[in-house]
Amino acid sequence: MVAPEYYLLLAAAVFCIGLFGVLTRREALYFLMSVELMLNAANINFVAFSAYYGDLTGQVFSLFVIALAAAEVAIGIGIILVLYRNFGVTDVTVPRGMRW
Amino acid sequence: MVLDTIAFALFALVTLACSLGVVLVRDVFHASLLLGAALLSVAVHYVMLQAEFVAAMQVLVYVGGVLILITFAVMLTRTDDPEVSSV
Amino acid sequence: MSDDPDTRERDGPDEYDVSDRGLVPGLASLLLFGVLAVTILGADFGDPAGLEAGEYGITHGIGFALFNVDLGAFAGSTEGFLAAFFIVAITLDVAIDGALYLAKRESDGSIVSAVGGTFTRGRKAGEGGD
Repeated sequence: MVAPEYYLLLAAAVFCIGLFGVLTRREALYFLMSVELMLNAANINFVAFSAYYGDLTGQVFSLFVIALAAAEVAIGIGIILVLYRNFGVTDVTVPRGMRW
Repeated sequence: MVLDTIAFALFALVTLACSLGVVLVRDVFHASLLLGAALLSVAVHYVMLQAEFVAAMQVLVYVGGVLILITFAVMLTRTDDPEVSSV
Repeated sequence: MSDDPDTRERDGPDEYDVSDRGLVPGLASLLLFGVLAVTILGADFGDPAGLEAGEYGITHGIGFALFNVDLGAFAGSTEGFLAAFFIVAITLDVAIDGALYLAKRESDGSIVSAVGGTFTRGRKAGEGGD
């Protein structure tokens, strides 16, 4: 097995890429995709430690993360479609009704 | 052991390149396709970590469900607005 | 460079361009990665213990853990997740209902506004005001 440091570094890099995407993009679809990347980084960590310590809990937990990511995407798609219907764009800086 | 590391390095390169592509590419449809490639390469990492079931769930749920949803959203929200890239 | 249709669009003055806003987030992300890398490379992970297939195999073990069944087969290497399984199931149910609620229309074809008409009435795309 490859040393767990490598997997952790890979996961950290993917997480930082997703964070960069969330911080720089304005379109809501990129937000969703970047959040998917960050959740995948967490999953890589779970599975890597599961294989390293011989503990199945990490794999079971990564399944939960996958399910919650699917739920998050379903809600996110609904919100994006409502956003597009009401404003005609998916730019998250356009809707300001709830901004103080 | 060496082959393990080489395979890991290759697929880590694919994962990182596709993830960077998701963030940097301007066309949102291309970004979603690159996201699919990144998720598939993450599934390969899972197989290398003896997590075959998680890899199968990754492919089924992410690539088969989440990515399809995102692609639908991309198609439904496509605008002719020149501000939004429309290739 | 700029005659390529893919990059020509990128060169023009574009509000959506990443490069004019990406400096500080990029530096922040790189800083976070640096901190994480230093932490990871300096950490001691303890002794590795390979993933034992056990009597039934890994996938069986996951199934047993999800439903609290026969934990003796994987004693010490996992735990029961039945409650978490049901909570996630209910969460997925709620997510489906929420997505349907967000996506549905009224019977006359008008759009159901998810946050009420107050926030969106009289506003078109692009004129957000302030």
